[in-house]
Amino acid sequence: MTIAGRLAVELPGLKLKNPVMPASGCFGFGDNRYAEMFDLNELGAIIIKAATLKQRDGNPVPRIAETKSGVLNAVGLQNPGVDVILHDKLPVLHKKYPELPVVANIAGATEAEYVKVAQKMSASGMVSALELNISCPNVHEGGMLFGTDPTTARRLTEAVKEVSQVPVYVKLSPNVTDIVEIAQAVAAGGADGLSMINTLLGMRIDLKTRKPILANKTGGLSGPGIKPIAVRMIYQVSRAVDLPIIAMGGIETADDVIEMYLAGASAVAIGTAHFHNPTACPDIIEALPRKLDELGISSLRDLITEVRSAQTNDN
Amino acid sequence: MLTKNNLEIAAQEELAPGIYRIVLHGEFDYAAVRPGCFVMLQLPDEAYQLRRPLAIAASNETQKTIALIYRVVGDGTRLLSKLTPGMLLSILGPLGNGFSLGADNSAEEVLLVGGGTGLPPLMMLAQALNEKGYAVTTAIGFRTASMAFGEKEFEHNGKLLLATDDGSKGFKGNVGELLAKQSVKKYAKVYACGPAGLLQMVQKRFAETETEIYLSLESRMACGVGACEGCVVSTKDGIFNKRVCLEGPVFDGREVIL
Repeated sequence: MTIAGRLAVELPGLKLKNPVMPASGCFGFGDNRYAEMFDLNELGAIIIKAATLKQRDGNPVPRIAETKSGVLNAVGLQNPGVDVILHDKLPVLHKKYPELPVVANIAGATEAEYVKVAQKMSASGMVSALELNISCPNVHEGGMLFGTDPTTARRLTEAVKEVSQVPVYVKLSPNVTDIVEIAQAVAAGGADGLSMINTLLGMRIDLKTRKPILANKTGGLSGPGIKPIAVRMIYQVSRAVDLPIIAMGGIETADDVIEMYLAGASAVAIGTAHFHNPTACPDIIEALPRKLDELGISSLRDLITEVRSAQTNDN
Repeated sequence: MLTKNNLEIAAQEELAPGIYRIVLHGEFDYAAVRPGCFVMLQLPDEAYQLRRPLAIAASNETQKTIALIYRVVGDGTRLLSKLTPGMLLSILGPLGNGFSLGADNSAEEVLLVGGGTGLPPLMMLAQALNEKGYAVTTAIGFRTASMAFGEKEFEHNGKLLLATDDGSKGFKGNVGELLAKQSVKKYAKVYACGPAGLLQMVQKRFAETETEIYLSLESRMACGVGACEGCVVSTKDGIFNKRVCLEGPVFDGREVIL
């Protein structure tokens, strides 16, 4: 099957009619009231909420704090566990939207847990790719700890790649000194693609209580405030590593999408924008063709080729 | 079907120091509004990434208006309080389950308990219950007389018991102390909205009675539609197993853990 159209892009495991997908954790399993506001079949794909081996209750509340041009969250990977997701959540999503490619975000406290979740999820026949979450800043074991050391990140990628029946995208943490080093490590570990960036570790303090607003004290910062960091990191990584990148980090408009492509992205995920604009994804999909016209870009596929060859010349 | 609509500010007034009532006019799913429902209001400044969850205090399908009452607590609500008629605001809603009203033509006695910004949803509830024939008693508390609002609405729909911390109006003390002086066994239902302490008081006071307990919870939330798991609450059936925005904001007071 080939996918036609100016917005169509092809990444390992993902033949997308457009490059726009809700980011993990901002859209549940498609089982929320956003689904009343537009047809999820319009999406390029959906990245579902992180799955762990066992049910996780998540962090105490408050889990959400607003910042200027951003949001802090410390949900803590709350999810019903991979078995319930495979039994109750994914079949419903798949039945309602049979054409919608699903990317499953997976997390764990140990390598063994990641491997088991990857095995189960990738063998289900209901997901097109895995997004290996080595970058959640809100859990005290696993999560970001796997994404901040190159050797650990590489070993985990290798272990998951060994068992996965679908392509694996590794979701990178921006909370590192050198993200290129981590990207190179997971590329050497066999990653099929990268997903970047996860949230930045942050904190807000309540002036009256004199204590952090979030019960977890720290949380992950997302939203347009972090977009320049995402653009810079994608720009750096795409020049050093020959892997397709799903870009995320404050994307709200078609302009933002094109900026990510110019940095080196192949597809995009939308997260925090949903909270103020629940129809951010379809709005962006609708606006993209006009934006391509305006900028004299024939198709996103051509844009990817152009950007990648310009990078080679730079190097 | 859930929609977001641009509603026009028809009026805005300060009811008490820092407490504002804003009336919005325009297309909205009025038929889906129940007492206890809320909306997510987007401030007209993109620096505010999160919509504000605000309870609906009144809804009028004929005039195409909804009224929201809020307290200025930070920069966002301060900005909202400065907005003037004619401006458009993006409103997502109605959201949440709303209060369970029970049968029509009931003569049962019901009690509403509120404090602070917990009052707005109770105003709409008092009217709906009164129209159904219930004998409504409302017990509300304020810090001091000048902070009081909503008395007229509650008196119009039943009996009002008012408390102020400093005794400048009505009973001297908080609502809990006021209710301690009353027999509450006669109430078939109690509905409460307000700070956690007030809800816990109601839970405790009615624990040994046959009264149905409905508590409307407040929470920091991001999406308002059940997507982000930001506003979870625990019940007897599990830890963080319910979302205030989707399964709530009204919960069975014998199930929810505060």
